[in-house]
Amino acid sequence: MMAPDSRANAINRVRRMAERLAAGAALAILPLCVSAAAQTAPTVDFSGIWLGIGDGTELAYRNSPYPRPAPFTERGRELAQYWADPKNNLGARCLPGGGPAGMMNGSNFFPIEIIQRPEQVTILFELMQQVRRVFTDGREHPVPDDLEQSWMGHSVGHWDGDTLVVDTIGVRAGPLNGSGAAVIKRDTDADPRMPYTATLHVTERMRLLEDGDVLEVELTIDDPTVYTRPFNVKRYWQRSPDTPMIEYICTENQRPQDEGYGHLLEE
Amino acid sequence: MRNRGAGLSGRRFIAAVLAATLVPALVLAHHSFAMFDRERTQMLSGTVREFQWTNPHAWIQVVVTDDTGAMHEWSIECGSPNMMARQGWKSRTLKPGDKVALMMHPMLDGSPSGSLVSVTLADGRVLGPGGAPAPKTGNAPPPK
Repeated sequence: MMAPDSRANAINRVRRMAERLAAGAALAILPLCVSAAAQTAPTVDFSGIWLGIGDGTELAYRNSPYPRPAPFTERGRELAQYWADPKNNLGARCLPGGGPAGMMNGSNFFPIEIIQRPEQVTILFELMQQVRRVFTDGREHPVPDDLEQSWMGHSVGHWDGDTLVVDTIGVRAGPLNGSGAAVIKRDTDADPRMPYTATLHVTERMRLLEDGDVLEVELTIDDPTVYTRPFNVKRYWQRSPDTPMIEYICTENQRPQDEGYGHLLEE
Repeated sequence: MRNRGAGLSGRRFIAAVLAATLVPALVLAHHSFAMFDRERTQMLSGTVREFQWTNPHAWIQVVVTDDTGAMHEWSIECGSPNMMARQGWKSRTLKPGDKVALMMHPMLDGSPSGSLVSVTLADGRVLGPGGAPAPKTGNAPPPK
C-alpha cells in the first residue's frame, strides 16, 4: 500500500500536471486520479442492527470456543484467577467489559448497530451504550508514547475486498469472556476467565455471509503477557433490523449486593 | 394492617413450577449473581410494594406475610429492563398492590432477597427474568 507521503506527492504531481492543461480537462482528470490513489471501496454495507447468534438459532453458525486447555503463561493463570473472583467483576461496577469484548462475546442479549461510512465504521453497543470507532481513513495507530489505554482501544481498519480487516491495540485490561456469574448455573461457569492486558493485539476479519444476513467476525487474539501463542475464535451476528435499540444507563439503580460482595464489605 | 400474600392456586402453582423447571439458562448476566444460591429455588407469594424498572437490573419489592402474620419485605432481582422488554415485560407490568407468586434463587447468606426465576402475574401470565430475543429479520435464510 502507498504510504501517505508518497500518496500526497503523487497527488501533487498530478495537480501540477493538471495545472498545465486546460481548465476543463483538469477538472475531469483530478477526481479520477485521487480515487485511484485511495482504497478500493467495498461493495457491501455492514450498516444495520445485529444480534449475536445464540444456541436457539436455526442457522448453522456457532461461536467457536476458546482453546482448551487455555495456553496460559504463568501470569495468564494468575489473571484468570483474578477475574474469576466476583469482587473484581467489572460489570458490577458498571464498567464495560473492555474493548472489542462486545465483539468477542457475540452477545445475543444486547444488539449492536453498525454505521458504515467510507472514513469510519462506527459500532454502537446497546449494552452500556458503548461506542466503538474503527477508523478507515488511512490513519495509523498512535505511536506508543501517544497511545492511552481505553476500554475500546484504538482500532484502524482497511478493506481487503469485501472483508473489513480491523487492527486494535491500547485496550484496558479485562477478561474476554466476562467476569460475572449468571443467574442460573451454566456449563461454562467452570471455564477459566480469558484475560487480556495492555499488550493485547487483536486482528478482526469481518465479512458478510448468507446474502448479507450474517456477519462473521474472525478474531486473532495475541497477548504474550497472558498466552503462549495467538489463537483464533469466530463470532457470528444475525441481521435483525426490527430489533429496537433500547437506552441503557447502567448506574440508575446500583445496589451494594448487586456487586456480589456487599456482605463481605460489612464484615 | 394485615397484608396477606396471594396464595398459589393449583393451576398457577403448576405453571410456576413448570416455568422454574423449563426457563433455561437465558440470563447470561454481565453482572455478578454470585451472592445467590443457584442450586436452590424457592417460592414466594406476596404483594408488590414497588417495581423498580431500572438498569443495570430491575427489582421487585414484595411484601410477604409469614405464618405468624408478620410482614417481611423481599428484594427480588430481575434482568436488565432491555432483556425483559424483549420477553414481554413493561415498566407497567407490575404495580404496587399486585398479588404475585414467584420462584427465585435465595441469597446464600439468608437475607430476604433473591434472583428471579419466574413470576406468575395476577392475570396468569408467567414471565422470566429476561433473556435473548429472537432475531427479527425479514429475509432469514432457510435452515441448513
